[in-house]
Amino acid sequence: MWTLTRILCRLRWRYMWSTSWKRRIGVIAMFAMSIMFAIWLSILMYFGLRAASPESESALFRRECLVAGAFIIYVGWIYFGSFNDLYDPQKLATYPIPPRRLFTCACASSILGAAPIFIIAMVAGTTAAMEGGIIIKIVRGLFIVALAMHLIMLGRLVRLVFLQILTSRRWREFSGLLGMLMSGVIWVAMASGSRLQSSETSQEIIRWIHGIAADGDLSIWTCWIPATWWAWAFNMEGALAPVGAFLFVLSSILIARAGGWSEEKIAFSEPVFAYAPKKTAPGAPRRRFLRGWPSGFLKFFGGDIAAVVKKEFCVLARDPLVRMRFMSTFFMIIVMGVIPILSPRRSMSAGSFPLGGILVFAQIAFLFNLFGTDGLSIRALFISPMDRGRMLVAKSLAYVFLFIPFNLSVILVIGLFSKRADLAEEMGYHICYFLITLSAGHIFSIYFPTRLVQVGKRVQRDSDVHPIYRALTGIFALLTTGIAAAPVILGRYVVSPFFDTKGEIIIFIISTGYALLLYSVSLKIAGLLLARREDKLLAFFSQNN
Amino acid sequence: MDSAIFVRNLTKRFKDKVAVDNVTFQVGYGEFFGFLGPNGAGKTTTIKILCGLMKADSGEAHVAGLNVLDDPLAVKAKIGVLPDVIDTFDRLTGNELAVMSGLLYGLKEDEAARRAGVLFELMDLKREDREKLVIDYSLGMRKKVGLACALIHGPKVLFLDEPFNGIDPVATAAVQRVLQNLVARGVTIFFTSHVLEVVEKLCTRVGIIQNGGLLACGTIAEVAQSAGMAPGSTLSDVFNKIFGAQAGEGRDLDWVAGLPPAIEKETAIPPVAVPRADDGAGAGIAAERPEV
Repeated sequence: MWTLTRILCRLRWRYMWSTSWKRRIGVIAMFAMSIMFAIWLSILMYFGLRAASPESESALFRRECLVAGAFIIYVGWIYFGSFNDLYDPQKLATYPIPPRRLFTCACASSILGAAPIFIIAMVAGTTAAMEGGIIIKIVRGLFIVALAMHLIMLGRLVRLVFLQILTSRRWREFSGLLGMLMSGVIWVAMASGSRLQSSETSQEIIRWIHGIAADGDLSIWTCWIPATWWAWAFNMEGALAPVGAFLFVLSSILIARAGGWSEEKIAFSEPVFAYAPKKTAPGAPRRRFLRGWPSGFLKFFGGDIAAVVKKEFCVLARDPLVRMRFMSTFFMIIVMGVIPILSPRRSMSAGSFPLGGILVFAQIAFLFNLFGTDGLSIRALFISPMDRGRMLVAKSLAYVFLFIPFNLSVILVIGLFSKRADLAEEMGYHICYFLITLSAGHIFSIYFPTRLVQVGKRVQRDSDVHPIYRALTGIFALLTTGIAAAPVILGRYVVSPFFDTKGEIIIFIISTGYALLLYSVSLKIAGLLLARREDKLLAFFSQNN
Repeated sequence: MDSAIFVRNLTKRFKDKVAVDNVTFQVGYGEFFGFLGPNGAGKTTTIKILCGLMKADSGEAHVAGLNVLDDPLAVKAKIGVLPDVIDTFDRLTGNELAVMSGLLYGLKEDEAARRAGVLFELMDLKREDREKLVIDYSLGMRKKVGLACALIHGPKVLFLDEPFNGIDPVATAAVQRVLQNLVARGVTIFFTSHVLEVVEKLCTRVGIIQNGGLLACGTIAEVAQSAGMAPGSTLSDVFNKIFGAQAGEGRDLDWVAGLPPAIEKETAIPPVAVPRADDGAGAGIAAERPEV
């Protein structure tokens, strides 16, 4: 057991620190953020528990506050990350390691990471705030360590289950959809937040929560969640404390068992991402993409461009991961479309809600990642003698075909619904924003490529590039695009109001010209860059897929 | 059980597809057994089941005297596996990976490091290459490191899935040398390959599988006989006879033409003179270029 934990710790250290400077930057940033967040958590726990101390409220109220706090930590820990890097158990499948031991040791190896920072923060905040002698404080500190261990195990179990699910196309899409729905609910709740603040509702909600806590309803409603059992035990009062401790330990044992089982299942599972065409009757006509006028339109650009556009559509329609991202993009658009309706200041939503810009933002993952959507097929693309500029035009056209009709329809429908006065202007400027983002995307796709998982490969978290480094480059890309779009935004919102309709049309024409110029310049630059960086792009996608 | 590998009525299905269909065979200790078949025949699935990496639907499978289906962990401790696609911890160096493998098999670190050094020397993996990350390795180097990981604990049975796939002749020769050495020491080797010349050279017996079912099993002469061929036939001839190499016959790539059709004989590139090792003047013609 100890040897395996030591090996996994060494492996974890190697992956976390000794791979590349990009990953190191990400690791340092993650630790810095973790420490800041942990300090905040510690202070929050201190003041939260002081506020719920027996001097100010009843014992029942304090217990219910503990239940609520434990619930938030429990759900937050699982939803926002388990602090446990997942190594694909299949890589260890050939070794004689019992799956349950692998699960336990993998969880124990999480000691190298952000988890201890949070444990220390929680222990510090809690023990400082809670009354009682030194023994009580030590016992409560141990309870927090136990909760963290329980959460590390549960986090890994969730990841393993997801890894198992994600090796199945159908489950993968379902889990993607589920994730989107959860994000959507959070999004809509955030959008509704401003309404709540401005009304009596928020005060009513606070009074309602207070009533629940004072009546002990929270314990009744959440009595099936281990977080509640832990809170009862931690409270160390009454008959509920031993019951809570027993149930919490039992649930931890069950999680450890299920973890071992999952390790075994995932080690045996097969990668099944590969596209399986639908069975069609013999002699049935072949399904073709882009029939009718789009196909005729594409012929105008030439056979090579038409071929790449059709290839993009095939990838988008057939690769489950791309399809999921594509669906999530549209879901995001729909959710964003709701904001103007939910917004308390309807006049703002009707007049100047920047829907066109936000729609482009929702699709930016595709526009900034022209070569990453289908991973290794870039090799086939680069082997071809096709002019690189035309290749980029083809990629642009694919996204124009895909997004512009939909986006314009969304703007039109929401604009009509919210009686927007500048509907035509919004639609026109949306195309400008789209072109500018595409231009920026040409450069960023070459310099900051990101990848999706290649078809036939399992999801892994061992990339050289840390997610935080990727986030930093993403922020840089967004800022630069914002600077590129600034003249158009300024022209529309700052200069246009000083002119009449004719002047506004001229400003729009200038903006469109600027966007087209930017696009053609970016094509030229990207063509030159590609000639220099093609080998680097190929190496990146080969290594990371 | 006297066999290193004993398989009886082994069956594995993936939904409608039968990957391994009622397969029965056995491999003795110290044998070099080649498991052959076209792509998708069921070779890798069989190997995975025998290595405890996949569960069979029915049948029996014993490796090194242990039941794989009942106790895969015990089997894993006694075998070495070199998968077709080496999906491993590629952010470790070759040396670190081999030592880690040794530790996972229960060796002491010093002993694992010693064995890793010997294995790498045997496989001609240069000292500086051992300290490179596996992700930067060529396919041949990955195979060598994979083989080192599979051998570090001294397995009784070795399973190799396409060990010569995509590696150069020098690496092939080095790996062959190691494998022959192992067989001489009594290790059983079960391997799949599409390089029939190598199979013919190395294997004492072969099994041929198609659509999940075992078509023939025995020495090359026995397999040739069962395919209705003369005793001296090569394995390649037997393979082509069984699976038919006539696909696409009579079709022509009429749009492909390397040279203009009416090229004059004189304009063809003349033979290249290459100096021979034994004459300093370079007057000899090493190879004649075929006439167009």
